[in-house]
Amino acid sequence: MILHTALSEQDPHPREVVENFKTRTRFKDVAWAIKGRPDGNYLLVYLANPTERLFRALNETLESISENNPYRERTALLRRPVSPRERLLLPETQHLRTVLSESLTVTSHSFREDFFVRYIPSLFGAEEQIIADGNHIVYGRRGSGKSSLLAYLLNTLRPQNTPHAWVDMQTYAGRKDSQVIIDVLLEIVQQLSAYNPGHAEIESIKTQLNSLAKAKRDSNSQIDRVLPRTRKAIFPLTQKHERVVIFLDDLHVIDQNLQPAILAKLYSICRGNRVFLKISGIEQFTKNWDPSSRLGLETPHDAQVIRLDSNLTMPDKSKSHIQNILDAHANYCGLPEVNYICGNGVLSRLAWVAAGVPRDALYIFTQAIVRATVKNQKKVSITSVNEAASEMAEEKLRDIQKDISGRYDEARTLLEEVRQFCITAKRTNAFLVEIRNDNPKFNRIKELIALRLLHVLHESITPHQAGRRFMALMLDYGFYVEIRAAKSVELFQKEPRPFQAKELRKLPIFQLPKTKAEFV
Amino acid sequence: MLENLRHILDTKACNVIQHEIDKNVKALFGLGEEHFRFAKQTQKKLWRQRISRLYYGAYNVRRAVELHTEGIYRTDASDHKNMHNIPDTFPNQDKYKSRLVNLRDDRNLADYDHDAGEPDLILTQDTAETLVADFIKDARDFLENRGVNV
Repeated sequence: MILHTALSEQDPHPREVVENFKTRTRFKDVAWAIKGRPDGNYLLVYLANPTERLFRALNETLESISENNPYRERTALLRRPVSPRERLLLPETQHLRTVLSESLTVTSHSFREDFFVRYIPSLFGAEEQIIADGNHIVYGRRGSGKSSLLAYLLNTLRPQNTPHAWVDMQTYAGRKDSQVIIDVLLEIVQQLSAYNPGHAEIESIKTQLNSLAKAKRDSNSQIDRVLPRTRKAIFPLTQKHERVVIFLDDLHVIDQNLQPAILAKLYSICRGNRVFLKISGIEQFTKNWDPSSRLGLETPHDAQVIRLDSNLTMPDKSKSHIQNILDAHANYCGLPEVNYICGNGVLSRLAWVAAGVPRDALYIFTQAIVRATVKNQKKVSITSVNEAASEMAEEKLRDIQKDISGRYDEARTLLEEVRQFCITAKRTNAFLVEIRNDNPKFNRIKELIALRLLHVLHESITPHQAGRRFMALMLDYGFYVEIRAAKSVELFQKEPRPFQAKELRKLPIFQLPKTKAEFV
Repeated sequence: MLENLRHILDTKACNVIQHEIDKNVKALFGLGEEHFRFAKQTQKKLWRQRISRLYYGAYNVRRAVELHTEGIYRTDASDHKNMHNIPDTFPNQDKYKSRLVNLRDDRNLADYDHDAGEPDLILTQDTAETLVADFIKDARDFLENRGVNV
């Protein structure tokens, strides 16, 4: 019996089955064979791990092909008979690359009917919180799963036909003008109008918002007049559907001063109206409440906070979370588990270099597959993960532009200072910094953490003197992986495991300048 | 069938019928388990007997499920063509729809084809045994969730 992947055979009947199956599963190729039996031929399709989704695709295939195809009732989906050595070349692995690339950006449209097959719950049950009635702000670094959590709720609302609006704030990235408020309101009203088509008042509000959006003058007072009308117009929806949900994904990308204003306007529509806000953002760049103007959403009264990112403070848990996510995608692609295509220690290294950030892990892993394939490796290796992590560092630097575009140089300068301290001066990848929230430099360091350029190993330790608390940090792996090759940097740890306090106490201290008050 | 009778019979009468149906569901399920047990204790070199009994194990358990959900009980030979009839809410429905048909074809080969050898099977003996064991377990859970303790 010969395994085929290319459809070069003359017989059109297996071709019809295989091509149809490939279209349904989006595999670029599948291995198949014709088994000759005394009672006639049988078509065998092979995958490393046939799952229910793939059996469904096969059944749908067989129901849809021509009735005279002899394989309509004589096709089997089987586990590969022998374990292949070149696992990176399998069609299943090629498909995994595609699927991982797709999952790097989660939007309201991601995964659709397969969402729950591929979704892995967060580490601390954030799903139970986000589905509850009430306003929520989901905080986490880029790639920590904020949008996925919002999408989780979205996908639970869809089957119930619960009215919702999803606003991707990236559309308004860097904007400072109050016209953004009108644009966002208009997006929301347009999306909600689909649940009450032709409603005269909603149509009238849309028209008014449209004309305000075109006007160049400051229209704050006019917006305020639209809000009560919008609130009243949405009210019947909540009567009919129990609740309405408004998603604002990546609020932090608009100007910080504008954020509390936009939240205040939306809250005036939602409050007591069974309309709930579900917001995501990077905590250090999000200003949900402005105490001076008393505008925005005040936590925890007006909104509850859900934090997703534990950095590297629980490395073993972060590793198993990343492994679960990769396993779900591997299963989806017909692989038994992600370890099937990984060499020893790859997943530990991956979790470590991705600093527990799921999307970074997916990106690095996808790139590592490519690199390992190019080198004709049989499985993904630690070397290919290291190389991909180095490349990822460049991506992270580009993210600075997206998240704090106005302070790019400032962030780069401090990063370079920390890098010099670690690599040149101390020759280690981890260090301590004193927790001084009144110190501007400490706050800049917190921004580097938010940008995934530094990672928290421990939130607060007291290594030397009582009353002086320090944070233990690690420089992102991507900034010294090449130097590591020269063996000049001592790695704090090579893979995720819980740390001991004595290990952290020995780390060098990155000194902060004294503030004016301290000099006095 | 019972759904149609609900239009003309009262609840009490329908419950009596459902009770009688479920008595037969249990018996059919038991018959399937008996075939499965026999297959498991049969030596592997008797591959024709094992494949045949494994198939009949799955066949009768599937009939038990169909009797409970649809009120259908068939005795004619064409019923073997219905191995893909698995309820929509049954766990791993698509796997069983596909694999039980493969098992039926293997059973036909084992029972009737004098030319056939064990390598001609689509499902190995071990794969077939695991398949039927899983099917019986899923069928038990499915029926018990619907109030039939088999």
